[in-house]
Amino acid sequence: MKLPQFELHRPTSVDAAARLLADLGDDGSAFSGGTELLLAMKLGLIKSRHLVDLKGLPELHGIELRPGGVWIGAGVTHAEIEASPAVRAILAPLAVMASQIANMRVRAVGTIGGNLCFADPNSDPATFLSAVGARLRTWVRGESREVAPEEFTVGPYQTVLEPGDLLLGVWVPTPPPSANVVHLRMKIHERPSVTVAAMVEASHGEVVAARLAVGSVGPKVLQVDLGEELRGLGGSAYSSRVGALVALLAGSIPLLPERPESPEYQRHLVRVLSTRALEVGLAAATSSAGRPAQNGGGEA
Amino acid sequence: MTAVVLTAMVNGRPVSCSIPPNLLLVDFLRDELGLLGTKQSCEVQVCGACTVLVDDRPVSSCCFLAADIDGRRVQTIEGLVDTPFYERVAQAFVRHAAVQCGFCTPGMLLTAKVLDERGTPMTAQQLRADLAGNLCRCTGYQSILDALEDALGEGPQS
Repeated sequence: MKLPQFELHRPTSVDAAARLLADLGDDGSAFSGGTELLLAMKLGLIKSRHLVDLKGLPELHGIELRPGGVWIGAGVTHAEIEASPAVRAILAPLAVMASQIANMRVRAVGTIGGNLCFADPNSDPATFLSAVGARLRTWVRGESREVAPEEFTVGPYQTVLEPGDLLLGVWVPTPPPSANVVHLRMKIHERPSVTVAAMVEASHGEVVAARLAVGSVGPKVLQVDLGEELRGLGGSAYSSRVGALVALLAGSIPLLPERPESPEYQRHLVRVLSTRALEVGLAAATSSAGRPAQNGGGEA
Repeated sequence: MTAVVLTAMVNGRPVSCSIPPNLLLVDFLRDELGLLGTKQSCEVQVCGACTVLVDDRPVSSCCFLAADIDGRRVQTIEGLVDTPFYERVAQAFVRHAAVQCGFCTPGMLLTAKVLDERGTPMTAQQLRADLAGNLCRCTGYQSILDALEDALGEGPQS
């Protein structure tokens, strides 16, 4: 398979790249790692006649520990996140999540920004970032804005960005000391069938705050704040409330059509993984109170 | 299409030329440079047969622009032979009968090179996870995992 013909542009500033993409409109595509774009172009699914290479924009590179969290440029690769001491220091499960994306070659060139902008519904990062309360920094018509991951994606392969808008990076806040982040996924094909991420904050074995995000089953990430519902609960009262809430969620979550997994199986996976994430979240938050979130993550 | 000027090091040799922007790295290596050790199979970066190293990072050359090797170092399987690493891993592959048709082998060895560069001994479990992106349709994998555990299990020796 060959690539169709295109012109390659290599701007060196966010401003220049944004203007170029705005001028090109639907005829242009932002290009970085190319792990999704080039594949889609080979298959004839995207027919851009101009690729605007964003790898030369210094603003999009680098992982930086700042007061209250870590800044990850949109052009940072999954492998860089996986290996980052700054990421591991404040949120080790994020590094573990990055280490499970696709394969080593995709992680070496694929970027966090590219993943979020391509908005493939069957993918882990948006779900994970939604659960931990991350914020995406965008460049919209010359202005810097902030958007939550679950609002950034409008539907499959669609984001709020218009031609000429860019994703600059991701702000990941340091979880509260008594919080624990758990990321679980089930993968039988190349991409996850279900992705679940939970952040549970607890004090003396009782929930203070809880947030759950479910992805890879529906057209976009679904995030639910369970703080009101679960606050003050622990032990068997917590388990039984989680069971009821998760059953409701699994029964009503919108599903993508035409998946290889049956709807019954998808809903079953949502229920099992969400329950497990919330249970492990509370147990670990309780046992690791006072230490930064270090646990969770893994193949279900 | 406006041609792209390219200057790179491929297997330690300087390469300088003008190429179309839509040329894939795998086609550049095979058709322009005659380096046929890089194999093309799935064409959608799932199988790992076309793995090459760009500045020591593994990439699927079937989904990577040749234009993006400008100013970089590329290593293919041809650049790996005659190195102590190759000797060590190739002998392990022979000992464990880890090659059948051989189509996946260049990609397996280049992936192994990345693991070796990490400098820490590989456990069987890590090997399994890191090689999950390299498909083999002959061996059933166990002999490849055995060979790599044999060769990389005690860390770099070269």
